[in-house]
Amino acid sequence: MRKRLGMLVLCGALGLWPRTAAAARPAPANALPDEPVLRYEIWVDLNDEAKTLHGKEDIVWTNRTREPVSDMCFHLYWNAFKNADSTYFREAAEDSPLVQADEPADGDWGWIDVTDIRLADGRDLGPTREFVRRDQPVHEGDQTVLRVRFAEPVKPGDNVRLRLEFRSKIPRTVTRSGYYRNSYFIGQWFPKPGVYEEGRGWNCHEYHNNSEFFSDFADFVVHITVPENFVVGASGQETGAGPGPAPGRVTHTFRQAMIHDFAWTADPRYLKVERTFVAAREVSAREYEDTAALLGQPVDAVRLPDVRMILLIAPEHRRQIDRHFKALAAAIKYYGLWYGPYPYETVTMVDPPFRTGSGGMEYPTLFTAGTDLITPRDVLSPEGVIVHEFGHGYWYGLVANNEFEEAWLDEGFNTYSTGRVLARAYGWDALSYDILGIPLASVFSMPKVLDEETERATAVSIVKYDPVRTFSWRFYNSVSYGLNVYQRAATCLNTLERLLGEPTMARVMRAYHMGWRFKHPRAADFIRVVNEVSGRDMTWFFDEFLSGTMNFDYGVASVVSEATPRSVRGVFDVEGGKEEMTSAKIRELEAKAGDKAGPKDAAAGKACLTTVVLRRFGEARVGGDARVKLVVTFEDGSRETAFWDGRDRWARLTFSRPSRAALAQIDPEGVWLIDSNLANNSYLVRPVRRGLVSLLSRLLVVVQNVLQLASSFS
Amino acid sequence: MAVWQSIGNGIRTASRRPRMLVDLWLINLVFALLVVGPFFALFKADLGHSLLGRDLRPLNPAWLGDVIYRYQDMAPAALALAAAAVLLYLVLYVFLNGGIIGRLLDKEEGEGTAAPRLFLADCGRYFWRFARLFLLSLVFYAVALGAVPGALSAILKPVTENARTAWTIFWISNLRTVVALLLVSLVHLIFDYARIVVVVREERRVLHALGAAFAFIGKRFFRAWSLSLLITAGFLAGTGLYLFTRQFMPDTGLFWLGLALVWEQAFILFRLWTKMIYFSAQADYYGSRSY
Repeated sequence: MRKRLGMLVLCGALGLWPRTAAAARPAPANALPDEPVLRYEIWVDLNDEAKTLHGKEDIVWTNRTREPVSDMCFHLYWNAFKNADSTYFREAAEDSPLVQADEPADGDWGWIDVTDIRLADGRDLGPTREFVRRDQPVHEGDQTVLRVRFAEPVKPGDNVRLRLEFRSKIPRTVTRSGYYRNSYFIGQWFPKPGVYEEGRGWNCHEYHNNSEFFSDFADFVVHITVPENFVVGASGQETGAGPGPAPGRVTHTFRQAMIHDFAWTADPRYLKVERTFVAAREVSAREYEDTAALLGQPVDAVRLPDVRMILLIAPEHRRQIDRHFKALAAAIKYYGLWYGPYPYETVTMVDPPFRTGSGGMEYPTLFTAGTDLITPRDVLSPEGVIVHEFGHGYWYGLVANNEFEEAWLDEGFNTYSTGRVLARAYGWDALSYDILGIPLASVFSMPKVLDEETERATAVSIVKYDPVRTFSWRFYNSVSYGLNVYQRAATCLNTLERLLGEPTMARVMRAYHMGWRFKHPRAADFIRVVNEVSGRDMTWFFDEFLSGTMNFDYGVASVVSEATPRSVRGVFDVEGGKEEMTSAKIRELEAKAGDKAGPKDAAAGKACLTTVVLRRFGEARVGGDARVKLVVTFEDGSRETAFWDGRDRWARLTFSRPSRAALAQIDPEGVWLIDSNLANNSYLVRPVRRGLVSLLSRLLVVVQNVLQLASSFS
Repeated sequence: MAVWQSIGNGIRTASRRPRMLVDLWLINLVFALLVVGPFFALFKADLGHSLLGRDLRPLNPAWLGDVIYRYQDMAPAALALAAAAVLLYLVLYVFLNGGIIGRLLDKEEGEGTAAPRLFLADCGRYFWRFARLFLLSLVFYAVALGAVPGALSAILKPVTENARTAWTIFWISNLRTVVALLLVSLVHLIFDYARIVVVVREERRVLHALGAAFAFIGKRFFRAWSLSLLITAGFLAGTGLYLFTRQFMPDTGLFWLGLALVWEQAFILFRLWTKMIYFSAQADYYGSRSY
């Protein structure tokens, strides 16, 4: 343990690297904060023959809370792959058979051992080591969280310096990490402290089957030693490469300030290509002006810096290099314009090595994409995954929510953001199906969709299983986890955008992002920003759609238009006496007036009474100042608009007009994207034929062909 | 030359049976309508008065998502229904094959012989023999689609397990599929000739018919197979043409809707016609070589 003076000395030792991003950039929005909670210096050696890592790690942790801290918890994530008793594999075995993770083959397990851990003054913490399991249900065999105890607590404002040594066996092709032949993707690989939360202690969850990660912002210096023929990519900037400790080996040094994780990859086959995102070329003056106007900020506040883009790509994908860079540039541009400038000097995009199980994953300043051998132009692959994983640099990387506990705050936000970027940069995406590994879209014109459409389609079906706001490992299964935290959360955000209006939502997202950069927000923080920026209390929205499992479905139950009768049956007081209006008298009156149904009603000077019944089919309700909007279109082309607060299960609304109703439609602007049944949002008095006939013919010919195919086996 | 000649004769014979073609098309259409009917009723109830019903692109995520949500609990029942329908149709064709081959081989009476009474008489006459052949064919299909590709995978496992890139997997996977498809075409070939033998020789013992088919094909394997593959190639070319042209027909407007419907049914007719050509060309080839 060291106090502040010790910290300064240590920073001198560890802090040789310049905090270049902070120093070089004039724009405050782009600056890195000065004081991270953690500083790391790690030396790691890859043994290509044995598939092992040997590492040393110096850590300086500063207690930024107001309470003394007497222990420290570390993530040892690779012990998730140590045996079938880990929480990870126990949960995987209980998961849906559709998505169960396979256990590694014999000899392919991975693990990490902390072989030595001591304070900087040499005091050994080894005897205090214990594996802890705090998450419910408890899996006794799990060894992914290690705790050590200090003899003296770390006082508020003080720091502690530790030195660890560790040995790891690299798992073969499991979740997010692994090797195949001599290709490596190394993520979640070093002993990493959890996040100390005042009043709650260490937030350090086990490695779960359905969860990602959470850790504190740190400054990293990492020295990676590999065989000299390997191409290496890593988080941060490479600041040097020199001879390693043995002949034929090279040590690469990477540095990066203010990131909360560090991943690297090594493969002798990588092609390394570098280009620069030149903001002056990618963003026009008009785009800056429009963005500034949208966000209500000065133009200078939305200007973007240049970013060095590094691509590591497999040789067989070399033809896709331009596509990779174009997608990354679009992502840097739109995430930067909308949410805030990218604050780091570099971003490394990795086309994941074949069979390393590492595709489509985010790490600070580095992400893995993933592509196919054949990539049709109309299909946004690899663009979709590139934009999404880069976007995680914003939602997870910079705004660093707890992915164990509130995964929707990054996955949902980023799915929502990805859809917006793809729609802006590329437009519609063709659906892709493969036959014999060949995408049909490379031959035929496939249907095209927007992300928000497909997200909604999957989001509505998952509502009954879990609330979006569920701890990641407590979802019903991986399908529920995935569809809730990605698709349903994104659909909720798209709905919120439509409720608030695009400009307000843009300001909400910008304010939330910039306000919570380099911090660990919770859902309540986002809700607070929404309410403050929009000036409306939208708390109900999150309660209704993200905290519950209630289906949202409003619909038009019926539409009936009837000519208003000139008289009604019964006995009436007329001039002091009683007069009965009989059916015959009424018919006579109607005949005289030449009354007929339809447009003639108007000519006859008589009104039609239209009754529209609206129903709330689902349990979820609109709240706050939101209303269900109803537009009734009449046969003469006129329209009438009404609003319903939607609290009750139904409402009957009547309209007296000189014409019959042709259409009643709720939510005509499509605000309630979260509505699970769009079909009942409108009611055409005259039934639809053409669309149904078209569908029937399509369905029919598919069935005819399937039957005929089956008959060929007769 | 004999192969091309038999294909030509087969085309001519099949083309002289428009009545049979129409009958088969009607059977296919009615059966498909019976399958589609309940789904159509469902969609009509949901979408018959909805604006969404005006734009029912088959992959419109709006209504497709809604449908999945509302009917997800019915999916097992729907799949069971679909499987039952396919199985039933398969059995129906085991029955119809007798009529198709019987009438195609009856050169004397031409189209007139495709009259329902004679057609159905042939269906009934050969049904049990064809049913036994069908059951036997399942063993061969299991070998073609399961055992052989499985064995191939096992043999190539060292290559796939140590593949350097995804291209290796791509080629091996396609190789396995191509081998399976070629084997399926061989099983088709063998059992087509077995059925022809049953009809031509009035053979009652299906194992004998199968043996005769093997013997016949064995003596002229490549020619017999190439005849079958050439017809398949023609069918694939026709299918490609249909799919290519179909994508240019929009779903809007009555004219295009009508044209698409006609075009789709024309393709079904083409499919059925090709099936008749298989039988008639192979029967012609069998006749020209077995005497």
